[in-house]
Amino acid sequence: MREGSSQEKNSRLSGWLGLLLGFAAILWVWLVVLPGLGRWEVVREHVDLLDRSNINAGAMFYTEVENQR
Amino acid sequence: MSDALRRWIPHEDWLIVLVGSLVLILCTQFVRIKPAEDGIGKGTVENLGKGKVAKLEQWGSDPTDAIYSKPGAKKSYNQGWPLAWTFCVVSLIVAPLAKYKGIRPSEYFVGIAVLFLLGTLAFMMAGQEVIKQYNFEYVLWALLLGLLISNTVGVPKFFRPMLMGDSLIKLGLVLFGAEVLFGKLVALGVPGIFTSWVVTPIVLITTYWFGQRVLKMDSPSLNMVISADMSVCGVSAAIATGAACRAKREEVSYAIGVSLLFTAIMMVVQPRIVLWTGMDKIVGAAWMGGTIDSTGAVAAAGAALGKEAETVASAVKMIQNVLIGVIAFGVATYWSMRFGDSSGSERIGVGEIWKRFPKFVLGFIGASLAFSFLPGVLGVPTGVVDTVTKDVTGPMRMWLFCLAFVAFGLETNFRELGKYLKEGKPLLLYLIGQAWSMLLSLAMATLMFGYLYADRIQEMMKK
Repeated sequence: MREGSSQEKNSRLSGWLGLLLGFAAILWVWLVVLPGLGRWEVVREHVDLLDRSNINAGAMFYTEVENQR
Repeated sequence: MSDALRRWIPHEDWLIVLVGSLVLILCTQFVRIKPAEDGIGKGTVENLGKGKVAKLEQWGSDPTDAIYSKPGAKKSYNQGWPLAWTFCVVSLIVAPLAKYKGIRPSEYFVGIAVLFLLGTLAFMMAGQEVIKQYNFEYVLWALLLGLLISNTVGVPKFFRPMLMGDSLIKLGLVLFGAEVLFGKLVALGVPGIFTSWVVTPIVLITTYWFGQRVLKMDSPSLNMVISADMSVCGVSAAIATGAACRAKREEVSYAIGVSLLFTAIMMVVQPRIVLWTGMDKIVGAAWMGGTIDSTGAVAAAGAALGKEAETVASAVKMIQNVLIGVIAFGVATYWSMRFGDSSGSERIGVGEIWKRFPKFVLGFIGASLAFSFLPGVLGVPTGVVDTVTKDVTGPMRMWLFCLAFVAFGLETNFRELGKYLKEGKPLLLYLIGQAWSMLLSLAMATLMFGYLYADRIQEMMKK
């Protein structure tokens, strides 16, 4: 019984640890990797061209594309 | 009260149609048409609902830029109040569905707040400039956040009833119907219709047939969702057809993941192929419009070839976007005829088809027809539909889809999703289907935009 409860405690702990690591990875990618990638010339050109043209490349449907009203 | 609601409305889909229709009608009430001061001109359309539904902004290295602008920024904005307002509206319109499911108010308000918080985070992640401009849409990040939580600490028991992703998707789709406007079909005339409305159904049907007969895929619904998202318009088509053929959430998630990955590649590679081969840019633009899955990515790929190419590519895609209503209706009807609860293929009558038919699709089609044709009948300026769909119902639909994908992630096990990743057939289907789509679209674009209507398109561009 006690062994079962300790196993449950361990699995809960590893779950929280996994969540923490997952969020840490997300923070690292979004706050460090992606801004770094955004400074890379090829990517910067692509982003700037779309910003200048007022294009939202993430649009799912034509109603989300700013200049297509 | 949920029992009383069930007696009045025997199927949840009807409640979704009712709520969606009421929301659409209410959203039109915020629009004011001001006549021209001189009494001769067209006048202006003012939408009091504009800016009320939160649309998080693009950011580079500071995520708070998604919510509010800093002093000296190019554009001044603060999404604080719109976020609070959106939360209230979303909570209000989803509440009848929760009541129908018998969810207690206390569980509902905690649940919807958690979903909204995760949804906001997903929108922030999707707003990072590199992520956004390479077309990795918010649904992917909503799914990822849900998956991360459910596969580590799990979902608490009291929260489980709130995992109502299917209902949120259906409600979002009824609102989405208002954006599927048949008037957009004539944007490029005959060549646009041929490139989008002839090639697309051929690719969809042949790819589905290929998956079933040649690849012998186990799941017809996964086969259909991949065929639709690859041939019509990516994520939105996957969501609409997935709901129409009752695909599993893992199947829709898989199809969306593959589509977004290849869209990011194609939006960069295809314009370069056009340039390297010396293809006519207008033909190349029509080709990209017909083949790149996602709408925003088509505009981006077109922009890489210049303004005219961007216009043509976007218009071809927009015409293809309209097809989504017809496809969803066709798939729902076919599925109702072919696959019942027992997935048998016995001959069935009209009554049985009606019983099996997903009723929310009628709300989706009804909204599309009403917003396409009613303004013309009632003499309402076209600007009214544009502002209602782009500034109010569209962003609200995005929130519903986002929350739905958070819920999908929260109820999905990595192992279930991993099954599809290990199996090679779905990916093979996507690749072969995409190659087939590129070939047919190129042939049609060359014929229509390069030969038969080349002069007319050139004239149209000069205007």
